[in-house]
Amino acid sequence: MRILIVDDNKENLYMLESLLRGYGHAVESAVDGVEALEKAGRNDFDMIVSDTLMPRMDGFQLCREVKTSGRLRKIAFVFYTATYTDARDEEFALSLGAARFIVKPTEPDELVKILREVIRNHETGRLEKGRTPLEDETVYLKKYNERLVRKLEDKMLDLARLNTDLRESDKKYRDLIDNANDAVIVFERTGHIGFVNPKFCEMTGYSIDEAKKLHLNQLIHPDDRDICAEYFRKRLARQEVSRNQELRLLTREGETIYIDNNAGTIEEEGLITGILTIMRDITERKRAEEKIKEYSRNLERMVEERTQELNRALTAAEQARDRIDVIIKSIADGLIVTDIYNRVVLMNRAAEELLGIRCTDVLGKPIDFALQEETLREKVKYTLEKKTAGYQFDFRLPGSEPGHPRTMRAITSVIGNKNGGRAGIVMIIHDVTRERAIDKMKTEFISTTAHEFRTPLTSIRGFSEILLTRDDISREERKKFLSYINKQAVNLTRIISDLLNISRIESGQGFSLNKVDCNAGEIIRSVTSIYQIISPRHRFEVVLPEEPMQLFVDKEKIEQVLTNILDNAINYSPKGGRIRVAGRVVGNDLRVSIEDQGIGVTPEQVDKMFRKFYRADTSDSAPEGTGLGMTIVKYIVEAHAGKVWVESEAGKGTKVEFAIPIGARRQTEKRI
Amino acid sequence: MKKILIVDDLLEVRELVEVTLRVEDYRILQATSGDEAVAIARAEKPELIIMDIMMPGKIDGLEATRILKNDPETRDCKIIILTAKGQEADKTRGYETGADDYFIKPFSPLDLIRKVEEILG
Repeated sequence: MRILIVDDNKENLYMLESLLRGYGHAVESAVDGVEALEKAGRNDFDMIVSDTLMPRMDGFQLCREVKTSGRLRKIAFVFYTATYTDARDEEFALSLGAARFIVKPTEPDELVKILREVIRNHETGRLEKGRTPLEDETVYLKKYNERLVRKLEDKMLDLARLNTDLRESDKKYRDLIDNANDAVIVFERTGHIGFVNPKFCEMTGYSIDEAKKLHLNQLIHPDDRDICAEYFRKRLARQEVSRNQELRLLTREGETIYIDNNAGTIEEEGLITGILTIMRDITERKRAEEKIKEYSRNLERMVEERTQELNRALTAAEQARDRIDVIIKSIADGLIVTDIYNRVVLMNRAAEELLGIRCTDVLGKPIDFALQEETLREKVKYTLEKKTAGYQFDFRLPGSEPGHPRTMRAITSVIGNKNGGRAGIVMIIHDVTRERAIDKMKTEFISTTAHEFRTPLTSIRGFSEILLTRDDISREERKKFLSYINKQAVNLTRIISDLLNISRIESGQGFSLNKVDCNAGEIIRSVTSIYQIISPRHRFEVVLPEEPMQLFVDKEKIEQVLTNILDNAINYSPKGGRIRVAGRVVGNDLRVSIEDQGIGVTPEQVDKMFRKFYRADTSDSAPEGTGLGMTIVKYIVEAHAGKVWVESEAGKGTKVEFAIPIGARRQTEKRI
Repeated sequence: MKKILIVDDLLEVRELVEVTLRVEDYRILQATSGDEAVAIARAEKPELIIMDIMMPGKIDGLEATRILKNDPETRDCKIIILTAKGQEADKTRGYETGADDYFIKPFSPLDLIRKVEEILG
């Protein structure tokens, strides 16, 4: 079936069209009676479904046109309407020849059912010849006018009702705006204020009348004017901008207030006629924010200052640490530091070298585990366990040569923490090999020296007691014993003098040379002749040139040099033999050699011969001596700018030779 | 007449001991080294030996004492060590050799003669 539907409401048209098509009908539509007539003239329709009230030509007129037209009158006509539903409308419609007057809303199924029924009846009716529409134009017009008047009255009533509604609605909105907690302002396109609510006046201090003379720029804080003008412009140009923004306003009194601005456009007939803004006073919030910001800035500044202070302190601490680091590294003694768990936290280079351990290998390891040396490990463990405040001990380490261990002295101290507990241990290791060797030499020297004193004292005490207590001593014996006593007293004096000389030289005071003119040959002869008497088992041979050898030296000290060398010569040639003393001049030097046929010394012993306290033999059968003789010889010869050396072969004898410059008179004194 | 052997490398000390002992009728023998002392002691079998320790030669006084005290021929021979080595350790070492007494130099001749008389009874 072909159906033409007519309605000025496009929505209604669409819905009805969809419905009827859904039931398999061919549907066309028109928006008013004029268009409907035109379409009906062009196409064949089985039915017209029309609204009543439409512009240009309403449903009644359309129905009249259709039903009075010779060609169109066979089309079934149905009114489908929501307005002016009066029983007289239906009556009028039916009188015009309409098949049905259907009042909206009707269920779609119902509508379709009615339409189908209409068609069926219409076909039957057409066969029977249907009801004749009103023929009389006057009657039609009269009735039509009645319907119109009626409709106008209804319309007037409706409008009156609507007006009341609108007024009430308007008042409702006015109340809302007047009592709003936010300022409501309408700006005209020019930027002038067109409307404000009382809240605006309260916020800004302007009266409503004053406000209406204001321009946007007078209201906005100078610093925000550009932003605001830009915003206003964009808004009017429909450009994309955010609805919300924060702005500062100037009140009537010139005070600054902060507002949160929420703006929208007012449009009339597609034109933006103004801007509606709702402003909320956020001054207090802003002030609080400002305070927080200020507080935050202060905090930041304080943090910054504190950070700088800390950095300075840190730098200072780092410098101090670096300094201490350098100091620790430079300490010649080994240094090991442990923490409270006895783990190695620091080890300096000296400690690494002494112990043969690399710091990186033992760092963080327990110290008694890190140490290789048994004694050291034991002693450290002892210190750890005993919790003693400090401990000192010696231990040995293998030296560079086998059989010559080095002696180390370790001092451990507890590192205290603030609470009086222990924070670890610091251990200092000092190589005392030399000190211990010197100590040993000193002890030996004292013992030797004591013995040296005992020998002359034996004679002095023994013979003096004999002389004092005995009557059987002959005159000759008496003289001899006295000479022994005297000689030994002299001997003692010499030993003491040796010791003092050595001690003085050692302490850096040196000794003074009392140089005199003398004859080398005479000195050699006189000293040797004494030994000829002292040691009869030796044969002394003196070899001198014929011409005298003039010297300018400290005579007594040169005599002592000879004495000390001759003492050694007789002491180290116990079986006697020849002792040859030879003097000669070589260039500007006097050279004297003393050669024995004794036990001799090894090359190693030759090296040590001039060392203090050194004795070639320290056994009980060793020759007597202080161990200082050759040291003193060296000192005296060198004080005379001379040199002394030894040639020897074990078992074959020893030759000691010294050379000293003959010297000139003007040389008076020399200190060494 | 009882025989006393004086062993010392220094003539002066030998002389001193000899003069000291002259108050009694002893036959005085002398040696200047350990080796010599052992030889003379074996040959002469003296009743007493006054022995120095530190002497040049192959054996010192301690070694000589040890030899003589371990020799059945000479073990009855009394030995007084007379030495400048005066420390306690030295004294202990001296007695360990079997010596009968230990005298430290310098000594009092009167003390020595008393000791000699006491030992020889």
